[in-house]
Amino acid sequence: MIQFPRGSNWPGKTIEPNELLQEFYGPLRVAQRTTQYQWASNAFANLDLFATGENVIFAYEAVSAHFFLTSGGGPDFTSAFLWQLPYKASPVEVGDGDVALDWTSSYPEMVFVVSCLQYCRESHAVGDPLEDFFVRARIQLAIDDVRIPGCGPYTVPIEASPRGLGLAARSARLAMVTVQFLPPGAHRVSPVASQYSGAEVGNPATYNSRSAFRAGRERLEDNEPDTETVMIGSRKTIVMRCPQGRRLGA
Amino acid sequence: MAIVILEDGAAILAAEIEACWEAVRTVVNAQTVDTLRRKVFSHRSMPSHLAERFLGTSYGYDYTTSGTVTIDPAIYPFGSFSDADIRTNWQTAGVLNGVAAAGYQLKACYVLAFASIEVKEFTNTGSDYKACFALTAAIDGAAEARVDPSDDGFILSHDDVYGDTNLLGNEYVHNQCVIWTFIDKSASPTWTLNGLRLRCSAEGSVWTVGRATLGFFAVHP
Repeated sequence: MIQFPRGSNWPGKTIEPNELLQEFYGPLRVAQRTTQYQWASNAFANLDLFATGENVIFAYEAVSAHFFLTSGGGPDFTSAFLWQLPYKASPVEVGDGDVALDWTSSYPEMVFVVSCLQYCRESHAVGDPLEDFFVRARIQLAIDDVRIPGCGPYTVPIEASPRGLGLAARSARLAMVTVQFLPPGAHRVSPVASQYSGAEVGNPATYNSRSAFRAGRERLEDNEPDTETVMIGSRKTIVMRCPQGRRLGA
Repeated sequence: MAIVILEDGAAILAAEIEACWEAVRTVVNAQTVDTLRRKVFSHRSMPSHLAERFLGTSYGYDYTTSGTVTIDPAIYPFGSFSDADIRTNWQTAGVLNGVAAAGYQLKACYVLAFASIEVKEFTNTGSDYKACFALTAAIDGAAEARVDPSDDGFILSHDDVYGDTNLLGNEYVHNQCVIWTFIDKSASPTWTLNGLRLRCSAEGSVWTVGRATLGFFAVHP
């Protein structure tokens, strides 16, 4: 991306504003878009010269919370580190924010965010008073309190769980991955989760449900506490921040 | 770098354009190591961020061929989520250990590693059953272990929304298990990542892994 000046020597011709604009825009582009490709191929061989945390910055937060599976036993839902998904609420930060990451950036950044977690709920056997009610977990990734669509979790919805209506599976080890460009400023990343309404969705026997919540099949009254063990165990968030860079200069 | 906005009718002088280029030349020529830090890096620079190494590469990737990994509880029974049990009794579904199994000899860097497993199906034995997974690393000759205690996961036999396991029988479950982990070696001038492993064990049922990937990349701090 090397631009040579064409100069202003156009004798006898009308100066085209666009051509003249290029004389200014060209050097500006050179100055702003310099990358490693404009340097010798081994220009970054001495990356040791750069201060740690100048080019790529990592942040990491993890909570280890196990369901205590044993040979022939488990899961156990009694660990204080497990976190219960609130029922019929907007998604809230997993672990009440214990794997959220905050930072303040001085530059625009490309941010690579990974959050993975273990999900598990109690199995409700046939005959259980709760068996007529659904458990569908809603788990997402939020950046600056905005839930990011399209970044997962990547698991196949099963059993009357059309896409977008939560996870019906009893257990899953999920990951959500996204790449975002963020402006300078304060940012916060966290997985968020909650449970959808316990209302039935369509007809699970036919596996052709779409999005109809059926009335009259609520698992619990709205104001009652949730008694079902629907938990998130081990969880972590990893953030890799790559500064966008700015124009050359002091 | 100021650009003079011309007024209508004003003469455009060659000296102004020359001055513009001179300003750019001055800025570029004045760059020092100190200014070549965050100011010039961008997402386009990512290939340059891959860490230096002494041998082999600073990234790795492997995947299974469809349907080739079967977790048989008779051979690889689940015992516990302890590192000792994982490395002793669990099945290796994937391994990355560098050139000639010598590992990856790296300079100071961060490592992001991941394992992704899709369980295709299981045989329903009518009892409680589970498949367990762990992402382990061997670093600087130490015993293979999880980097973080949370680097494991499991999938249970899943009942349907009514709690009835029999509705699914021997089912194609397509249930995922994804584990990411992060290794901070930014303060180690040199070190060796001897290997990464995807380990798995089972209980109650024979589980079939349809697809699995294992990979990592090292990024210069």
